[in-house]
Amino acid sequence: MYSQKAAFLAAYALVCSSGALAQSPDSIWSVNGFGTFGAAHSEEKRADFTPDPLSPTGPGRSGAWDLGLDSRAGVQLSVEPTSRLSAVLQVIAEREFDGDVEFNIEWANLQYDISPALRVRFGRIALGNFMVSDYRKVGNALLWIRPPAELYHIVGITSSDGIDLSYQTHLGNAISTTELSYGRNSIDTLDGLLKAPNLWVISNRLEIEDLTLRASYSSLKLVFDALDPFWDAYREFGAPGVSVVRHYDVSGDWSSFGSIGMSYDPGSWFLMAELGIGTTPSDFGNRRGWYASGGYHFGDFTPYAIYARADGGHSQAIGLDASVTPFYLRPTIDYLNDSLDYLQTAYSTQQQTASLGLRWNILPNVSLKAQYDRVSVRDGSYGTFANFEPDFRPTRANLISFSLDYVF
Amino acid sequence: MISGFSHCLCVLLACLLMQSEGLADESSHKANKMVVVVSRANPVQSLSKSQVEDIFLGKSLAFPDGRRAVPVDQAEGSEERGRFYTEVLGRTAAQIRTHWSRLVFTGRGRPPRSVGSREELVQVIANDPQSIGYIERHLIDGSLRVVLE
Repeated sequence: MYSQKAAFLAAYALVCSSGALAQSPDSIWSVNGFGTFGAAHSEEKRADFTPDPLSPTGPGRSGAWDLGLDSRAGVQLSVEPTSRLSAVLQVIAEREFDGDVEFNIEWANLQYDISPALRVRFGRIALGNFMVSDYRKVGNALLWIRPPAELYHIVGITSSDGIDLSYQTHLGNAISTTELSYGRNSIDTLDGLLKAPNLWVISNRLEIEDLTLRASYSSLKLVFDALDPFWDAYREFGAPGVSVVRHYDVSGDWSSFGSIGMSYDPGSWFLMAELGIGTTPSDFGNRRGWYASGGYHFGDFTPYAIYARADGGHSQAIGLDASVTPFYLRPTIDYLNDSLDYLQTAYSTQQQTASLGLRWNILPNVSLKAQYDRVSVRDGSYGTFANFEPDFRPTRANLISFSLDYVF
Repeated sequence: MISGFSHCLCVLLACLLMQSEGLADESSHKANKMVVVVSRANPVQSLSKSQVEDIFLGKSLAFPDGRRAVPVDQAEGSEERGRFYTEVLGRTAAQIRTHWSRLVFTGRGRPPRSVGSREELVQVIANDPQSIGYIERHLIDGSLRVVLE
């Protein structure tokens, strides 16, 4: 593993230093790269702030400063042998779910332009669930430090191995792009934990001069085996237990996510807003998240603000009725019901964050950002926090984050 | 009295000078104005600012009539390139770079190819009916057609 990392670092350094050479206009090959050096700080010592459901740790209890949350490096090799055919391979090194820094293939696909309007891609693509989901890891492409957790934590699966069709039409001065993807997820590090063996995403982007409107709908079959022993324990209690499982076990069923978003950027200022609703075929309920963000471009400085809010789910799960079972089984039932309640609470994120930030474009391809987030968790929810001290419920945390982002 | 008169004359002269300088500025400004051009062999007669923006920012791969459009940039760091993006599209170099990061790293597009010099640009556009570029007005010859002023 270490030799693989060393090889990646060596190749990355080589690419960084020779990147400019590879950009010769007549070459069919191109090499590009991006990266972020990030540092995030939380004063809350009893829990970690984890904006992404797949982040194992974050700033807080595991360490006031976290250099791994937003830091990553990526390199992309593209080849365009003809004007219609192209291929792209993108590898990213970042902290993974298991806590180790690893490199993963983010994109690996072959694209064929059937016509200027119709394009087909085969291979690994990033899912277009959200407005900025396909470039959320490219810090320099984002105006903020990271996408608002209140919305973006709803769907943890970010890529798909499969086929993707894109169709573009002109409607007056508007451009409409419809994308349809079908595939399966590819989070290698989550093997045995979470899989999406079937997923569909349909999205439409309408660009009218400086205004972009976007809507997406995805349907994902989610499979996770980790909770199977838990559901089996409920089933031991016969029909009432089986009924609980039927109401709450979503593994193997289809979940869905729908979102709408807008962005307006005439060049001197910007406004962005997005709303998403995730549903599972269970009594855990629906989850909603939205944000609105705006900023002003003063030359190379962009001060911005974000307000984001997450709602949904229920405050309590309905497990087995312990009163109708023999007294010696009650501790077991209480334990199972408490665990089910924990799942319900972890699922039902009730949180809002107000953020202020500043982006400074030091060079056209290098930017420095600073962001302050005031995170408030409501109604006994865990919010987007993890790794708690026992019996601790987060209520409020102040985060300060810095990032240096580059592309080449 | 005399000093008052000469003072007035000086002010008048200064005003005239400034005005003629302004006029010279305006005519040279017109000649130096960045215009968007295609080949004479390209049937496109004119484009709106937003259509040019769509093509140069990779939002559209085609002219409004559906034929493939291939944008061509002037050299990176050149004055012409900076002026085109700020004056015509109203965006800074960093904003343009951020925009392309979003397309390049999602496989949605590649920035326009760039040429080494103005002369090369004229040659590339004139010889390729699919291409579209920008250049100062006074450098246009009969092989090019202005589609946006």
